[in-house]
Amino acid sequence: MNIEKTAAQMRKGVLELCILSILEQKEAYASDMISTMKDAELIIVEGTLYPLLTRLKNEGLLDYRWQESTSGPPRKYYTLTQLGKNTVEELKISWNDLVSSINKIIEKSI
Amino acid sequence: MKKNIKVNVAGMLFNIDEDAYEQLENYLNRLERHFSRTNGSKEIIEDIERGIADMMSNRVNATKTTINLDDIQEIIKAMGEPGEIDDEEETTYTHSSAGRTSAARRLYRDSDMKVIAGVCSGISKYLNVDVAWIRILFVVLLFISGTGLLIYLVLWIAVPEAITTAQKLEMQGEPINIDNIERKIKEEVNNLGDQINKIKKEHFTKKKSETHAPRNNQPSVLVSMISALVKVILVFFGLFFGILALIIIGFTIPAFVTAGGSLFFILGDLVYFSIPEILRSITVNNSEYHLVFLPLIAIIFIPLISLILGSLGYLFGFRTEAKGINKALGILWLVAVIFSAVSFFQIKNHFEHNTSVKSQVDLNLNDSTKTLHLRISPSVTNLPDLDDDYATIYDEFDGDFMVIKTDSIYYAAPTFHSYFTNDSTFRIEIIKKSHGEKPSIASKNIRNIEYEIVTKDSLVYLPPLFSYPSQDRFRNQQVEIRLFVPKNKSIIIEENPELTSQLYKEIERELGYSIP
Repeated sequence: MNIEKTAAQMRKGVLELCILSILEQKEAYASDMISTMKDAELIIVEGTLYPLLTRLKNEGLLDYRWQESTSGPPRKYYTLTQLGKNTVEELKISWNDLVSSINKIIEKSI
Repeated sequence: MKKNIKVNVAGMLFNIDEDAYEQLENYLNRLERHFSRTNGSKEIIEDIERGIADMMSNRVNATKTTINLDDIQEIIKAMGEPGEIDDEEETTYTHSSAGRTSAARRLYRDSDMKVIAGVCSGISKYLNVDVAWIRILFVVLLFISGTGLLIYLVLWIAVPEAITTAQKLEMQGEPINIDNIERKIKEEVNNLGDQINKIKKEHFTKKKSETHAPRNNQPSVLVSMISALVKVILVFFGLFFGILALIIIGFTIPAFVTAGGSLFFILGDLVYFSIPEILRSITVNNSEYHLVFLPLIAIIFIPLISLILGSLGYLFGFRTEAKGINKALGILWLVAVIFSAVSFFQIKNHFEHNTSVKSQVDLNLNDSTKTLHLRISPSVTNLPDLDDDYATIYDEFDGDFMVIKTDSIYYAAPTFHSYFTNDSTFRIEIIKKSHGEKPSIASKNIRNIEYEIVTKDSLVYLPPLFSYPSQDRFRNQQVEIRLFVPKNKSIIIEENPELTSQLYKEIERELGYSIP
């Protein structure tokens, strides 16, 4: 079993929830999200975010506004739509259920 | 000293080292290729470029003004390789209804089942047909003047081999059916804006640009409708030209095959020039021959093959991976054009001088002869029996430009003209013409033309063809026969019942037409 690969797959599954949760707290652009994740020791490459953000936006979960930057190109600051807010609440419940179920299984097996 | 380039990424100007620039461009190309089949690819790539520009602007300051290779490598590492990005995306997309198109079946070479390069087995997977049928088809095509071989080679070059598991899955992905095709067309229409914008793409060009403000990413409805139309037309044109090029190649190949005999030959219902024979008849030696022949092949086939590659690539959804191929073909083509221009002048030189010699045929007739009888007779100069095909070729060219080759002799048909005169006796003139590099060579060519008329009382035997040695080469040697007929006298063509060859009968008829 390739541990690294399995771990990567676990991460992928929860990326959407991470993005939505970050945006629930405050609006952010891609680089912000990466550093928040980095602070939480969740390591992904930045490129991964863009296809996800585009898709979440197209599905109506996110909205964005342009903001000029002093140093670089204009940035897309993303916010949650009402649909996004509802979705993140539901996802959080699913996540917590999942974590507690998995932990029960793990603890039993010890 | 390192070369330094000014580059515009997402509307921002950066100074960048040349090697770093190459790496960046390469990376963006990889991304673009990678996302070319994903929904919203244009937006994703623009976002990524903006992210790159952001990282780049963090790496320059008052003291360090240039982006170097290390910077770019770190940026690419932080942004991730297309494969890394994709892996993430694939998992998230499998359960989304948006769906990716990677499930669509694509044409690959199947190296697991290969005999030569896996072209046939790849096609069989693509079409879901037993590989045996495809192989039989290629073998059959092989015998149609080698067309099969050419198609095989083109596909070998153009179709990528299925190496990774993903590619092997794509190779046997969803079957091609009406639903899929419809979906593909819809996707194409959705991606239209991307295509059009790609053309006027400014966010990553070498030229200077001041665009700082974010552009409006949604093309207007009108623009997307127009681009939809353009796209559809382009697809049809692509298909049309691809097929056309294939047909042209199929029909052109025979012309590059030596027919062994004439400079012309018939295949199916078509009269072909045998290009090798014609070039042999014009050029003086091997090196001159190849100087004309090889560039000619390149000039004709390179554009046709690129056309086929392009449209096949589009229709079957494989990408021609090596961009270098197109570049190399382009350069090769230009070189071929230059060589052709050089050899054209060399060949033109062989035809520089034009000479003609007129001679009278001694008829030995007295004034009382009222009628002159003409008979076409191949036996006068021992002409060979010729295939009926030559009659068709003679018809096609109006008799003007047919050269037949047997052993080391060229044969061609003379032309006949007749005139009424005020003289009292019949007269026949033979005019022989030839071109040559120098007047002396033209004269020598004329001397070598063999055409002999035999007379017996009032009966004149005319050979249907004249001949000259092939070592003289084709220098537009011609023989013209002029018949001068006194006003109150006449000429009769006596049909020669012994003519077996259809060509000679045609020439007899032609002689008849020239008599008033």
